[in-house]
Amino acid sequence: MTADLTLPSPGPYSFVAPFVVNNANGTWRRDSVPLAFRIADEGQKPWIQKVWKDMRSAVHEAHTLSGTPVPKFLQWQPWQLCYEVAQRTAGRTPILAFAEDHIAGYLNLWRTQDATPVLYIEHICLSPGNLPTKLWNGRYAGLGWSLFAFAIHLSRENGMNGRVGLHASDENVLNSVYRAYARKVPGLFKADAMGIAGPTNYGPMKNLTLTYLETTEEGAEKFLEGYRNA
Amino acid sequence: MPDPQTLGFIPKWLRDESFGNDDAFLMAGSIPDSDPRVVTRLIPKDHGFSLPARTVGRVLELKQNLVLYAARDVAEGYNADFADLRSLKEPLIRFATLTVEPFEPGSFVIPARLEAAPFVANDGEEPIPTDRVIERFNQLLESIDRPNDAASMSMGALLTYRELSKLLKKDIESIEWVTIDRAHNRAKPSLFTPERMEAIERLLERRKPTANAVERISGRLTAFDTVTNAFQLSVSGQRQRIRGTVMAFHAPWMCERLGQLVELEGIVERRGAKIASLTVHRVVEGEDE
Repeated sequence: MTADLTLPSPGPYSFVAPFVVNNANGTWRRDSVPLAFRIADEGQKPWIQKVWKDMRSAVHEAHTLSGTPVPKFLQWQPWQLCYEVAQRTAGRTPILAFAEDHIAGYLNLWRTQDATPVLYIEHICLSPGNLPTKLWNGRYAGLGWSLFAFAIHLSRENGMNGRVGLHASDENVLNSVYRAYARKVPGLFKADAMGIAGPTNYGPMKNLTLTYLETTEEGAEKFLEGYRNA
Repeated sequence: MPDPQTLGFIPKWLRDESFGNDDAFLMAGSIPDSDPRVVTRLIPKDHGFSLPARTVGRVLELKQNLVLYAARDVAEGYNADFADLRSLKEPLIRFATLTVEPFEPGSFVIPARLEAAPFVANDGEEPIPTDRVIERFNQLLESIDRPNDAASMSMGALLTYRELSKLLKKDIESIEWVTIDRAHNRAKPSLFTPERMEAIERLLERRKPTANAVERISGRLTAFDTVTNAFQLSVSGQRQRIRGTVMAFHAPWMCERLGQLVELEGIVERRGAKIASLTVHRVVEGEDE
């Protein structure tokens, strides 16, 4: 596997999987468990090819049997993305996030080849076990924030000063996820851009119609500071 | 005692966020493309839960052969007579070699993908992606029910289908094929059942050399259509003229002999004692008037 990015230790930051707890007095509070990040190499294969895949198959079959439309995430098959030959040789660094030793999320990262390289997030997503379905409920709340913060940390520790680029997967995600980040940290992103190709060299380019976002170094640092726990 | 795993740490940005906000599933990028696939689902006879290893192996072998025939069509053009996979060159075989993925649990659903890089058949030509092979594979499946389209199907592919039909007689109730393209679009599944296999037999029947005897007919060429290569021939002993067709390359010969006595050789169709039509295979040179 080509993995030219190294996974840093968390340092003073806590990348966590937050969850909501129902108190005895009927109120709610948040708590969290730590996240661990591992390169999606051969040793991690069963988490993708068995656990993730079987969860997806179960939801797919349930929707087929009940005649209801299948959710979008069922199209996602990261066991192919991680391990197909064309993907492995394309310069990606696939990373799995674990909470309580169970798979929780997935990041697919590149270092761009520009003069000022950016950590490009090709994909960032949650495990099916953390998505609300008719079979189970989502476990964590706010996990995506931590995955994004970890990407910034990884960018900084790999010499890219917190520069992170990505294509928001659709308008809904752009508004509900990244606009929410930018509300917390004004100036987190440079101006929106369209027609920017991702660095993928595999398959037809689909990202030209998606909104491209890139963090500012200052904004990224401020966002990451929200995870300082020391 | 608190769970030692929990941290009690809440990232600053979530501390005043309302509870119950679901994360989005895919937050960056689009659903990635994948290698094109052919997925086979085997249904054992009598709702069985097992199949002989030899049968499963044979299905995989025949599936691979069908993909090779499809690849050959794409790379070298259609040849209805082609039936010898041993003559394929090594680079083409590598290009069209399926990689089988883990079976779906508890089933005989067998996914297989084409993961090779685009194939350059001849220098200077556009590389052929594996998607084209899958496309042709689908055409081969569909043309079973379309005899006219099946005319371009190689004899080898037809015989491979026949081999599959033998498996349907023994251990397998049905075989379902579905292809999935690079963008995850699933083609309409194609189901092989004993009934469908009868269509294969009909296609093979059409390929058999005719058993009809070739006859030689003499008469006066009274009409010839250069567009359809159809003619009319007046013969002695029959009031109604004989209608027929010749091959396109016979057309100049026919034009030159319009109104003359000619001798034609071919398959004769009769109604009672009379000749109704003549499909010409050969014109008899040097015996014109």
